[in-house]
Amino acid sequence: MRRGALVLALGVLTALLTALVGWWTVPLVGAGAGLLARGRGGAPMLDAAVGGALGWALLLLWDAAHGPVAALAQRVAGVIQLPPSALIGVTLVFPALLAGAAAGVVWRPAGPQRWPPSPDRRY
Amino acid sequence: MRPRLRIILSLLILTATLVAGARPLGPLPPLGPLLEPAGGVWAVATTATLPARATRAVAGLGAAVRVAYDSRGVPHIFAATEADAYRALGFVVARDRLFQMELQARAGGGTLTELVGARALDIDRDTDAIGLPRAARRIYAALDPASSGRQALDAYADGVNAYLASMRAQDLPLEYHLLGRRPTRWSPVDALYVFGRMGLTLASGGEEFRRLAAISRVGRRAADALFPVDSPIQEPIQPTQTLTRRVRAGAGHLPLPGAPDTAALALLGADAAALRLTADAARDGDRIGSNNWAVSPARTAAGHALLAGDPHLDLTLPSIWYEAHLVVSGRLDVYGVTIPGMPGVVLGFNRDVAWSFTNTGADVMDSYLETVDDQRAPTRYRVDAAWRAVTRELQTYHGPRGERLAIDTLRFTHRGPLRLIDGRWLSTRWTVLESGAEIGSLIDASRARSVGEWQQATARYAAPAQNMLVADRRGTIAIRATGRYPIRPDDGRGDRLRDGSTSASDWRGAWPLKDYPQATDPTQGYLASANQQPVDPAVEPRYLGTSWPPPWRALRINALLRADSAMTPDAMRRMQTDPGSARADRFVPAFLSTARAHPADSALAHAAALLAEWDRRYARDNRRAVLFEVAMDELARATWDELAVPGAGDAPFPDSAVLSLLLDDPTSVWWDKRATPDVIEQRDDVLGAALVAALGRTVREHGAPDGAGWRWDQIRHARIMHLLGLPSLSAPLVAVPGGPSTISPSSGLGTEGASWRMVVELGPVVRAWGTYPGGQSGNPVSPRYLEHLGQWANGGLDSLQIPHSVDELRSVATLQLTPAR
Repeated sequence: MRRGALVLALGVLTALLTALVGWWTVPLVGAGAGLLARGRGGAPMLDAAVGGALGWALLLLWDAAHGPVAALAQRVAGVIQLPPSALIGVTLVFPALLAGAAAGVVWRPAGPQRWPPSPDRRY
Repeated sequence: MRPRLRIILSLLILTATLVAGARPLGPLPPLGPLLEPAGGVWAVATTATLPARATRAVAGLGAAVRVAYDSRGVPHIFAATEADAYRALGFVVARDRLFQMELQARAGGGTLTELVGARALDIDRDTDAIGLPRAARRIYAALDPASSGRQALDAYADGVNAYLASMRAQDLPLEYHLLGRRPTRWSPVDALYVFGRMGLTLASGGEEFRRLAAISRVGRRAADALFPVDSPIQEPIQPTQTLTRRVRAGAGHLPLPGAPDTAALALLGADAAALRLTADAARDGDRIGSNNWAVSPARTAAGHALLAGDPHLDLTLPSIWYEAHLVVSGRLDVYGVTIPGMPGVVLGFNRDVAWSFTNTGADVMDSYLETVDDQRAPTRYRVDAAWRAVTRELQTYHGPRGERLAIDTLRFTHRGPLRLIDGRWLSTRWTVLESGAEIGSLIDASRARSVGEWQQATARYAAPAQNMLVADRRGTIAIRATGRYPIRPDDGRGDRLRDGSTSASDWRGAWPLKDYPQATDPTQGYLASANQQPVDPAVEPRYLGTSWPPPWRALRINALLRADSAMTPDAMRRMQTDPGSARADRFVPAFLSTARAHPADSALAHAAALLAEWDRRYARDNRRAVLFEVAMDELARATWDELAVPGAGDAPFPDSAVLSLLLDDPTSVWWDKRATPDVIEQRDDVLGAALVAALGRTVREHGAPDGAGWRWDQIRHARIMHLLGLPSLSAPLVAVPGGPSTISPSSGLGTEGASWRMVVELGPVVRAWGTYPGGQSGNPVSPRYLEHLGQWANGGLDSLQIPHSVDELRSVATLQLTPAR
């Protein structure tokens, strides 16, 4: 439940920052999620990735509510010779990769870990 | 996962994704701004329809302007001054067609590479080499700042730039997203680039190459008869009382084929590929054709003058035209189509006058062979035994990111651009490069209250020459082939290379206005033009041009107008897509008559029986037009075998009007096939063999005669491509009625056609109908992108709304433009 709320919050934040500032804020949100999860367990990379995709999905839904997104997908996909569903997929995977990877760079897992890990530490 | 590995992997993925997001990947623009749903390509969907209400500030506006969009997306602009009206026009056209405007302006300005990259380098180089951008800049600089043309250009640019300044991220047109580019500021000269590009389309041509190819095969005398300067069948736009016989004397009797002319072959470059191109162009010669006609009140059912026009041009998406209505109380009230990027209504009507154009096709471009001081890089050229300096300009071509692609030296003589073509330095004199009053004259004409005023306003129009048809509410109809026609030395011909080393080759002036082909209120009660030779050479023998399109459309239009003494707007509408064909009326009986003369030939009888089932109408569901068209192709190939070039396929063929006259000479040596030296073929042998061969070929290519493969709508299509040639943004298979030489011709690749159709009734209250193949919006997902396409294909027209005020209109969207503080 709490994790779901977190992902939702990340999605909303991603959507807002994307709309207000630009696409390059997506990895910043992901990095923020990774930092917040530092020293904790869970899967912040996945959370950030899903949050990123969710943020752009929300924006896509907003677009769809205000115009013919399906028709647009068909036409643009035709230009770049992709199926329309693949174009939508790429649109969601792109922020997911940005946010997830950014989270992965900064996140430290939970537990008695040090960085850099000692040579005898096994994961 | 080990932390180090996770971090490295994450860094790699992050870096790769950021790079893909920020930098272009091959032809793809950066993915970040492209895919971002708030302002990237997806946001284009949110601007598919205009907002119901909007207010924007426009710099330079004198007073508020109200714009109301009607149910067809046409903006009705109500302004206090003309300058404000043109500011608003620039704003609303940019709002709907921004990318098209920039693309066309860059095409005419030689800077396409900066938008689409190196793939356009050759186009830009050609545009610069022919001198269009330089001429546009010179014309703008020479315009009187107080002139209506200059003021409209400046105001229009203000409006476009005001729109650019007001754009939100989601307003960026789709094409910019796909190219990863942003729109650039609009300059008043951009409109002249757009106009120059139109001049290149309408007033240039390499017709002399067709004749040259023929000379190289059969000698000059025969070639001159096959490709006559004057149309062999006369149906001029200027009605001729003395024209009792439409076929020009002697036109049907062709001289014997002569010996190949090696000098002509050398001039042509002896390039098989060039010959093939010329041949293809020739065979498609009647694929394009504009029409207009007007009927006097005495021959209309309602007693009001009627005018119809359908200019045929390249069919593109977005459409070449944009509809608009401009109202300035007490001063201007004009409705019609504008070219995106150019201020002013080009074709349309006001409350008193209506007008439409067809291309005159006059020869207004001459080439001169220059003597230069340095064959590699000339700095001087010789005229009258003295050297003159070549004007040189460096032109740098840049890519989208400012990278330098190439540098050219542009050269000019006193005649015009100097270019190296096939190893020779040729300069070109061309009226399009010397014009300048066109936009101003069209703007002035839109205020005219009568035919006389309208013709006075357009008198200074120079290029590209147009058959300007005009009618008014008083019932006057008139036509004038308006343009600057050069007076040349000696025989006055412009279809050959002239000697540049003497000033005696230069133009001596221009035809006076009174000599232009023209007519007002003719006794026949109607006027029409279809790009045919505008005046009977028996009346006006001076050279005006050559290679006139076949007369079939003109014959058909005139026949229909003659046959109806109670014309209605709806009859005019039907005429615009009339599937009948004067060409088929001429040739089908010839094929059938041949078959009747040879009843023992069962194959011929079978083919003729199938052809006889055709009503000679190119309706979409007919199953016989295909047989006729293949038979015509077989007939031309067999008849003109003398013109074939070994290794180069077919040489250019004479047009079907020449062939039709040859039908009257059944024993002409031109019917004889060179491939069968032991047999002397005559007309019926060739006609019969062509029809039999056509049946075999049609069955092979399209299946059984009663199958779906023979349906005309399976064979002929309009092919309306997006300006960037992107199939998913195009309408490549639109079934249309019509065939080669019908009033709405359909042939070749199908990329040309009626770009706008209009009918106007000039009664006490002006009524008008119109349509075009597309819609007002340039947004490919807008319902207005292809809004009229189906109606256009079916020959329908919309009733055009012409409100006197905003309140009179049931608008679907409004836009308030206010002066910027």
